[in-house]
Order: sequence, then structure tokens, then C-alpha cells
Amino acid sequence: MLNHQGPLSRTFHALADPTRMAIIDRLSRGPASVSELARPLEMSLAAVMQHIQVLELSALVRSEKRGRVRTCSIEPATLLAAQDWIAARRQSWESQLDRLGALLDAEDREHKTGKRKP
Amino acid sequence: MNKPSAAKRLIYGNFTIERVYPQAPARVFAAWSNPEVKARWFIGPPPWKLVERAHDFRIGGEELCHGRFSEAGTVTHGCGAALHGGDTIFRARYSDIQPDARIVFTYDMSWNGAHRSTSIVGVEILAEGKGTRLIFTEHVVFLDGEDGTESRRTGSAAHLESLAAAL
Repeated sequence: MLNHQGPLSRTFHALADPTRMAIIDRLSRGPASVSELARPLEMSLAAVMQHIQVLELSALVRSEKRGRVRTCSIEPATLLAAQDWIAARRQSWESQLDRLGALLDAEDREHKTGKRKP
Repeated sequence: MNKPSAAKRLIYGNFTIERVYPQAPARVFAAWSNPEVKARWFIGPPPWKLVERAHDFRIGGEELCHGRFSEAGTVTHGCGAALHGGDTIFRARYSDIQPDARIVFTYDMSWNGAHRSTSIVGVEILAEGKGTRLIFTEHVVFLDGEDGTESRRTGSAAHLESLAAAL
């Protein structure tokens, strides 16, 4: 797992797999049981469970057990809004820090050309 | 206040940004500590406009940067990091300041009146040769997912692709 790098990379890891993307695609149409999710996939129920666990760890999917049936659903609104926001915070600071550097460079050029500020 | 919702969850994130500047640590630090200098780089991109700014650079001191994106549209940069235009308010409090070496602060971000996130930031200013290595580390807790995209069917994949492109 790439979780030492935080939730964003965890999400990419979770989605960097065609089976997990297929599960997300199915759940985006509404909740489904584990066996419903497994039906179109050519793999064991245990393997599907493992994929679901990865999606749960990345908070993309949640599941709930009622009796003998485990139902999965997608959690897009909160999570995607959060990831958008956090990515925007990062991008914002990236551009601020670049602007800071450009400003210091501009000050240096002013000094060299003798247009030193008082 | 926001109405309570069973779906509301706290989501945590963290990131680190590094920059190397040819200028000495004192110059880099001054760009953070001098309100006039900071006001020249701590801004948003067009159509961002400053509404109000205040900067009290001392331990316990507060900083305010209130901006406005007048036009609708996706904007992900700037003092306010707006997502779809509107008002953004950055409100910070300095927890630790070591001249020419480090700045620790916490800040709240609100967007269109809703408190969206609270962050802890460490800015390390390290001498490297004649220049400076700046290490910016932020831990952020996202508070309010209610205003986020409602998309379910169409949203997920496209959304995550644009997120991947943004990183």
C-alpha cells in the first residue's frame, strides 16, 4: 500500500485496477451486494472481497452487513469534494511558492540594475 | 450552521511541497514575515480580487486574506482556492516563529460562508549552499462534504481523472 503518502495516493492505488474500477462503475448506479458485484467478474468471491476491502480502506466504498448479506455502496460526494478541496489547497500553495520565488528573483534584478528600493 | 447529516465525515489529507530558492534564508523568511512583501505573492489568479487583508506576524498573531472570484468557473489556485468562484476567506494564527528558520501556523478556509477546512502548516526554511530549501508541510481536515458534487453515475470516473491530472 502507498498509504504513507496520504489519502490521495491511496485513492489512486485503489482505482489503478480494472476490477476495482468495474466495482465503482457498478456501485455508481446504486448499492449492491457482494455476490451481485462478483457475478459479472471472473474471479472468486474471496478475491472480490479483497478488492472491496481496498476500496473501503481508501474510503471510496462502504459496506454494511445485514444478516448474511453484505451490501456495498459508493461514497462519492463527501470524498470527492474533500479530495478536490485538498488538491486545490496543494495547487494553491504550489503557485504561491512559485510566485514567491519569482518575486525574490525580480527583487534581485532590480538590485542589479541599480533600481534599489529605499 | 450546516444541517446535520449522517453522511458527514471528516476526511484528512496531508501534503509536502519543496522549493529551492537561490536567495538566502533571511530573504525567504522576509517574504513571509513582511506583510507588504507577502501581499505581493500571497494572492489569487484573475479574476480573484482582494476584499480585505490583515497580517499580524507574531506568535499568536492572526492573518486574514479575504478574496472574491467574481466570475463563475473552476478556479483551483490562489489565496482562496475557490472551486467554483465566490468568496474565500483564509484565516490563520501563528503558533511558532523562528526568524529565518521556521514558521508554524494553523488556518481555516471558508468558501462562500461555509467553513471547509482547518489545517496545520509547517514552513521550514533551511540553508542550502548560498540559497534556501523551503519545505512546506500541511495537514488538512476537510469538514464539509455537503456542498460537493452530487454526481454519482456520471461523476466518479471523470472526477477522479481530473483529480489525477491535477496532481
